[in-house]
Amino acid sequence: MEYVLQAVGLTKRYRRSSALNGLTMGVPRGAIYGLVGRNGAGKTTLIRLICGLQTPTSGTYTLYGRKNTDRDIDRSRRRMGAVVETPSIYLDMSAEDNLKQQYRVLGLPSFEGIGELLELVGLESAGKKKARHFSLGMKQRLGIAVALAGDPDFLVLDEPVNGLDPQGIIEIRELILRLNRERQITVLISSHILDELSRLATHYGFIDGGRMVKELSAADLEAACRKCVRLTVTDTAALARVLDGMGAEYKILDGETADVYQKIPVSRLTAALQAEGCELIDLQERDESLESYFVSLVGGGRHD
Amino acid sequence: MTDLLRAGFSRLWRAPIFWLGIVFMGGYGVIVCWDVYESMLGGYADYFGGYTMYDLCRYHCIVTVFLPSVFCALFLGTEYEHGTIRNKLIAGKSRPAVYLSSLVLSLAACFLMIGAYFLPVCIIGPFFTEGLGVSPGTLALIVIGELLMAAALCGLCTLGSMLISRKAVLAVTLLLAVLAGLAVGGYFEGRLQEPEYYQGIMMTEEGELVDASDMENPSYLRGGEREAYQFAADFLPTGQALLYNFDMMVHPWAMCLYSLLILAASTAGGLIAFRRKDLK
Repeated sequence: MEYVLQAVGLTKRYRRSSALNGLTMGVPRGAIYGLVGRNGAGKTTLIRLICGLQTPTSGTYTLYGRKNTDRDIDRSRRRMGAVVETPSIYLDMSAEDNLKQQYRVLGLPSFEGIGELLELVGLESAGKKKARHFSLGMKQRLGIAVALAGDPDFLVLDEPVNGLDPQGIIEIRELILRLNRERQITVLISSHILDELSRLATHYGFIDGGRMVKELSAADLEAACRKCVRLTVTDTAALARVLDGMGAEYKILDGETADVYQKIPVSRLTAALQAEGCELIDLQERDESLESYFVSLVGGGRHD
Repeated sequence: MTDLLRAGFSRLWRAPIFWLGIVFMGGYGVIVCWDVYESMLGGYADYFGGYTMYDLCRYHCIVTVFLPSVFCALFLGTEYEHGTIRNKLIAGKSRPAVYLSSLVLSLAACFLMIGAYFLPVCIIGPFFTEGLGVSPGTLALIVIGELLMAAALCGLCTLGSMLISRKAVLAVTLLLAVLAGLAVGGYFEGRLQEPEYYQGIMMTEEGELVDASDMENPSYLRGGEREAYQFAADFLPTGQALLYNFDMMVHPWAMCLYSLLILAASTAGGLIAFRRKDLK
């Protein structure tokens, strides 16, 4: 798998606290990578590090094949755009002027593409209105447009839907999906609004206490969160024979428990198990969401 | 850095604080000219001699010391307040380039504001002043010294602007620093201006009036102490401003050198500190 960003043992300590403790992760090319973690888990610190706003205390990261300690890391950074916490825009300028300003910073020879960018983020009708009079959603979209100036391949968004109304959340979500699908932009997005993230992400990284607790793809997460019936029996070998006979899809977890991924007639199952000399001790329907998966993963405890 | 300068100047031309500074300094130049003209009409020249261009070229210095602090706090401070400084770094611009472009912008803005003062002075001044007052070389040295004093202040204020991320804290810090600098400079100059001998009549503790001419002033600074005070007044940009304004320069060449030293040291220190600064 080709990675846009790879971090190894990233640590960031401040005078009195430690924000990242040896975090290791990888963002595959073309992914929408959802960084999941509660407040203070280290999401924003990680983003600040990879954006070059802060330097790691130890550990390294690689951006488009260049290490953060390489002299030419700035060249890799030119391929990325980011909105860190609040959108970085001049409030006394219009949307168009903000984009022109960023075009100048990037050294682009002309302002070609500004109209298209404004259209992409839905600000084509903002006209001469100053950004300070924009709604939060408009500011957020302008922040993304500024980050998209210069056609980056990698977009980093820190809590992009924070404080937005439902309509604003939908607009940002659709924009991110469009950027990923139509422009093949790899997106790293941090959020603690898990429901929203689950509609976007193709990969997840669960971060807690400054460490990566788990990284997995959306497909793996879906499998882990699949609706199932968890059975506890006295003999899983007998259970397997019965389930095979019924043509059910299942997974043996240990000597006593198994997950069955479809509805099964309980009376038939009990009778068949009895015939095999096996007893059904417990039966539970499980329907895990990203939220419950996250809670079960970080669980309020430490992950040493 | 060219891109950053292009972006910075484009923002500068539309910044209200810059144009306010230009209008203020231009207006101040007109007021100074008018004030001098009125004094001339009031017979000032008959008693104290006429004004010269040399005088007009110095009268802006006390006001000028506030320009870098106000400009840096409100113009450069906005980069942190709006978070736009992050866009530059994320776009792959190096920290030294970001720092130096900010310094160049503040230097350019302050020089242009000082230029706005000199514009009416140079147009109107010659009509009622009595020539240059000093040799062209001396006048040029003084004007260059004033610009270098402003440059030193720009260096210090840019350093503050790049290291203090909160605009309100930055504005208060820079203004207080300038006021404190003026107070300290004023103290040094006050001590340096103490007369060596008392002049006139003094009253003793017994109430007797005695002729105090040629009596030694115990507060008069002598020897190494005087040199130290003179050095401090020459070295501090705010001290320089007072020296220029009240025509008390003793070492104009050294003052130019000190300003350059302050500019170089503050820039070097600022570059090192900004390179290490954690931005949010």
